[in-house]
Amino acid sequence: MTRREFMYQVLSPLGRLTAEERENVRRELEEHVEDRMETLLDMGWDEELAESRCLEAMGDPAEIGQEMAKQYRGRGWLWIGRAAVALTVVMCVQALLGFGLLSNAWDSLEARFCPSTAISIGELKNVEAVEDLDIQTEVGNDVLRIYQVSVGEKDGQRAAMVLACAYDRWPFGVVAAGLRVRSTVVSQRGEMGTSGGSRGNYGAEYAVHWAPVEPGDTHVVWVYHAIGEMIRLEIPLPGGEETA
Amino acid sequence: MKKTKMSSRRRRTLRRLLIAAAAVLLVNRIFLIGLLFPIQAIRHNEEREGTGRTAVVRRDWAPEVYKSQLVYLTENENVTMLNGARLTYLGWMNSFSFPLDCTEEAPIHGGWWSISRQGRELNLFYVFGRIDDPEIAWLEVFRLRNGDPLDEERIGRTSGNWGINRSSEFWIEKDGWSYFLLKTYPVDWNDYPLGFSVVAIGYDDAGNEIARVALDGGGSSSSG
Repeated sequence: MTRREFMYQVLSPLGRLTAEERENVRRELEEHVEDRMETLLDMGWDEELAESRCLEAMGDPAEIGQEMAKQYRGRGWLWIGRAAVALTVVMCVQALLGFGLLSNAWDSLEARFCPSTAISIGELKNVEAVEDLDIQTEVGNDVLRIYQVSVGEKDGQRAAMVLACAYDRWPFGVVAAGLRVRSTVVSQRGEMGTSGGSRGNYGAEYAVHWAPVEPGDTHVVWVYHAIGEMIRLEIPLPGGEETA
Repeated sequence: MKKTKMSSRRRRTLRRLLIAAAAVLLVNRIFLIGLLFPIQAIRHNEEREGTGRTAVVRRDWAPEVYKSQLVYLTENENVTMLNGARLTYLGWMNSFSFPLDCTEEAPIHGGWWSISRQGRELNLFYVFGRIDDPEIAWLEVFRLRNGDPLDEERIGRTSGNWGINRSSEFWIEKDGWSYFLLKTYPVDWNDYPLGFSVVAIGYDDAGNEIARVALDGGGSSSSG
């Protein structure tokens, strides 16, 4: 029996294999025969005789084929596997198409590690003091973070500018929209402040709020209106009473 | 010679499934796209609106806008929310969301939303909400044309009675709460040059008016 005949008899019962699987089986058998032949050839055997001996030693090709076929049962697995490959391809294409959306992920990370101060900072004049803060509170699935307060002059009036950001508790999660409109800042005397700039996307929301301050004020209050709850955060002013 | 290990069909399939799951997770979590189910888009709406997790009260298919356009009425203790989701080339995406704050006491919490598609004249007009007064057995919804001397126009007058009672398909009972979701088709904005307002009136079993609420919250979304 030639190697070709042997392979044919082994592969015959494997009619329902895919081309790739059939090639795997064929390669496996070829490697097996080559291994055995190599040993015999090293011992000085004639190539034709060595191959014939090896094929005999492999056993009944029909039986080998049946054993091999057992490994490839289950048409369902084949289709599930193909569906998985298709899904992976679709996801890769979507990732390429949505590459710009990575800014959400970037902002989500930035807000939790080094929140941006590039929002409306230019509006504060005659800045007296700036202080970085890290006041955090959980609002639903999100974290509201007050990260900077400055005292200076706005529209001819002494004012505190408070910078805040919000992000989902889980990195890369979706944050609630509208941090600016959900928030207000009031002075410690209850005077309402005004809202400044804001920006946001699915990854993080930023907002700036102002509140009038007077000499002797020690804090302002950030009020966040969530559905069903209202959160008040006391923001200490830089230097406390010394800002007077 | 080096032997290559033959992989069985099952083993290879499991490996491919693992890779696919990792790809789905990555694209879902990092890119926030590639959502496989519309309810995942609703979950994004909940996050964006800050409502917390809501449960589906009713799902409506709106093929008039997009073949895959779905409209969900969802709820939790604090909100009743109208959501939209549709299938795009980036997977299921949220198309709109409008939550009603139901934390304050009121006989009826309601709102409205109009959905349209650019280039198409047809738009859908949804009125939805929660009925908190157990005495209310029948609800009627009106759209008022601002500045109209005739004062009021009933939604869907041309196609029948849009009053909603407890046996109506638009009246939905869930977990001890009563909700309504009303869909109407023709809204010609030219008919409302000064805008409009929507009012819901609740009647008891005897037909007595017991609540009249202006559904101030509303909006519209239009997609290309």
